[in-house]
Amino acid sequence: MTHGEVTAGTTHVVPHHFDSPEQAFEASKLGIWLFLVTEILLFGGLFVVYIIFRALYPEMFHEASHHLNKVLGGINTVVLICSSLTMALAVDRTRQNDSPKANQYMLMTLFFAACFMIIKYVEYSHKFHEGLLPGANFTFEAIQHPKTPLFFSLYFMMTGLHGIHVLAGMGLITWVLWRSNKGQFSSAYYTPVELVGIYWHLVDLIWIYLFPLLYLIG
Amino acid sequence: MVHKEKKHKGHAKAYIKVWVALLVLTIITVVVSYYNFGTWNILVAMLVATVKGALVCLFFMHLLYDNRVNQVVFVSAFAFLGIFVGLTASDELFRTTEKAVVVAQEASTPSGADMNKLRVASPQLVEKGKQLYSVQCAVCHGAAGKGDGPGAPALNPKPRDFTSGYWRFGGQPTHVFKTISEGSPGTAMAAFGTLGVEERWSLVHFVRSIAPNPPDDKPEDLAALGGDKKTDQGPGTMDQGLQKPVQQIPISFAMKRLAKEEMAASDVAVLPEGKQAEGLGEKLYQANCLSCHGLSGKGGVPITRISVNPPVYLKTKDFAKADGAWVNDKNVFVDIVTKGLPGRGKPGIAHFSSGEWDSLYQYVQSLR
Ligand code: HEC
Ligand code: HEC
Repeated sequence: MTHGEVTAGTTHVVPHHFDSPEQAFEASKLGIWLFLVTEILLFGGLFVVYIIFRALYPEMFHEASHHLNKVLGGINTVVLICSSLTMALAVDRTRQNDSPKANQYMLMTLFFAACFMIIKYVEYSHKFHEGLLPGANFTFEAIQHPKTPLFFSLYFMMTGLHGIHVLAGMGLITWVLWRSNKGQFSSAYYTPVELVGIYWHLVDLIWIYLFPLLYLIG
Repeated sequence: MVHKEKKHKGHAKAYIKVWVALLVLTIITVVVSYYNFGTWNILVAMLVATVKGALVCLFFMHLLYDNRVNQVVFVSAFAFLGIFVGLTASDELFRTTEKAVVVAQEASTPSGADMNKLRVASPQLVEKGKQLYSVQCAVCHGAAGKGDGPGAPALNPKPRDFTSGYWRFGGQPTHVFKTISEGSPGTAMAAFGTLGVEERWSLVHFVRSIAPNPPDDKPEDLAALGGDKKTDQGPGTMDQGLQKPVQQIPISFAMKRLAKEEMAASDVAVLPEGKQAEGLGEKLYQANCLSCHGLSGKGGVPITRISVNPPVYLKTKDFAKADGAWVNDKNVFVDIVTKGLPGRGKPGIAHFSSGEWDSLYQYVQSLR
């Protein structure tokens, strides 16, 4: 494949500052991995807060965690794992020049992501109703420990930030699906699918830690 | 695009295996969380999460087949995360000033101190005791030993008035020494076994010096002293409600922390000097309720300690913010006050006549 050649069935042109499509692909991948590092450190800040406060108030974390719904949290974990699988399969199909199948897998991924958000909505509205919101809105009284709002503020911040990532992921998958539907991807060029896939797995990865840390304390 | 794995017919099979593994691991963490293995719970949960995370990274994100640079970049994120967590925790979780204080005091204990010499009062010992007393004991027993320190009104039984001549456990030097070392279980009189032997004896002599005609040791007291090695072996129990001593914090230090951190926002739990009650209700309130609910019923007074470090207390609430049925119904009020709220640190107080209940109810209403 020569420099700037239009690849089969697509309108994609390798940017002129790259020597080859491989180099362009590798550069994009390095970019997404660097982005994931910043993501991990972004969530890392919240994890540090979590670790410190859990060490200071272990009994409170223990008690407060019982007010989260293990079952819904567990279902959401399974839903995200399934979405990760379908996304991985979508990337795999694209690479095998099987765009129709890939599109189906992406639709399934979107479906799982939507399920995740709906379950999250059910959980959140229940928590709002109980008066577990941070700050002055905290009116929950069933737990005596005066530092209880801390746990729920952390819960909302961590799952909220994660939820925003899920929404962003849904937007990205929709974009890739739209392009794929127009036949822009093939084994020759599928960088966006690959990168969105990697991002989507990170969203799953973070939930894998959030779930036991928030829902499964003791 | 040439790719290392291109020879394979796709990864579908491997992905499905990984997916099954992830589901099984999820079930394992959930099941484990229903059993209590102490600290093992969190370790198992984190181990499983890490295995799951590794599967996702290596296969779904195909980091396993990716080039070395990407692998190093991604793993470096966790190294930085480790530094982030490690440095923060090493600062935040090891700020234990209390321990330093106790260690310093234990180091000052004269080992094998000569009890017989210390047992005899000397002006130096009394002077030393006086200084220690003003730091360690005056909060409760009062500067002049009249049992009227700033902490006294909140206590029941009241701290001993040393000028009264009454001794519950005896005023002989060895007896007072024992009281100071072991405290009076069930009262606010804590065990001061963390003080050095010489310090404790100096306190004995000072306390006796302000008491009228304190009795001397009898031969049997001295015999008990010789046999009872326990007295010079230091720490008795600090928290009498528990089997083991929790954390030996000098009471002065605890008081200081209490005053600084916990009392700051609370109502005055002490009757200011010279304040006269105007009616029966107010008088009853001041005598029975003020020590917990505060002078003006604003609450915020720490009642039960529910965490050790940092200390966190269960506090009374502001009457004005109450919306329980007692606000409109005297019978409910009488019921709550008579029975107390077990488990929330509220004792049942029932010794009022019906007229007194009326005035008390009116007065508490007026505080709202
Ligand atoms: C937190 C409040 C508090 C502090 C601080 C305190 N005491 Fe006491 N003390 C009490 C109370 C309450 C009693 C009454 C105990 C009882 O009636 O059993 C008491 C009783 C005593 C008695 C009388 C024992 C008896 O036989 O009647 C002595 C002696 C005594 N304290 C010495 C000290 C000394 C010395 C210190 C300082 C190292 C000290 N106390 C610090 C609350 C305190
Ligand atoms: C040993 C401490 C203590 C004493 C003494 C005490 N209380 Fe209480 N009281 C509490 C605690 C703790 C609570 C529960 C927390 C809260 O609601 O403030 C409480 C709650 C109450 C309530 C319910 C308040 C609400 O928010 O609904 C009333 C009414 C009340 N106390 C009245 C009294 C009266 C009247 C007296 C005096 C006869 C008294 N208390 C003495 C500790 C005490």
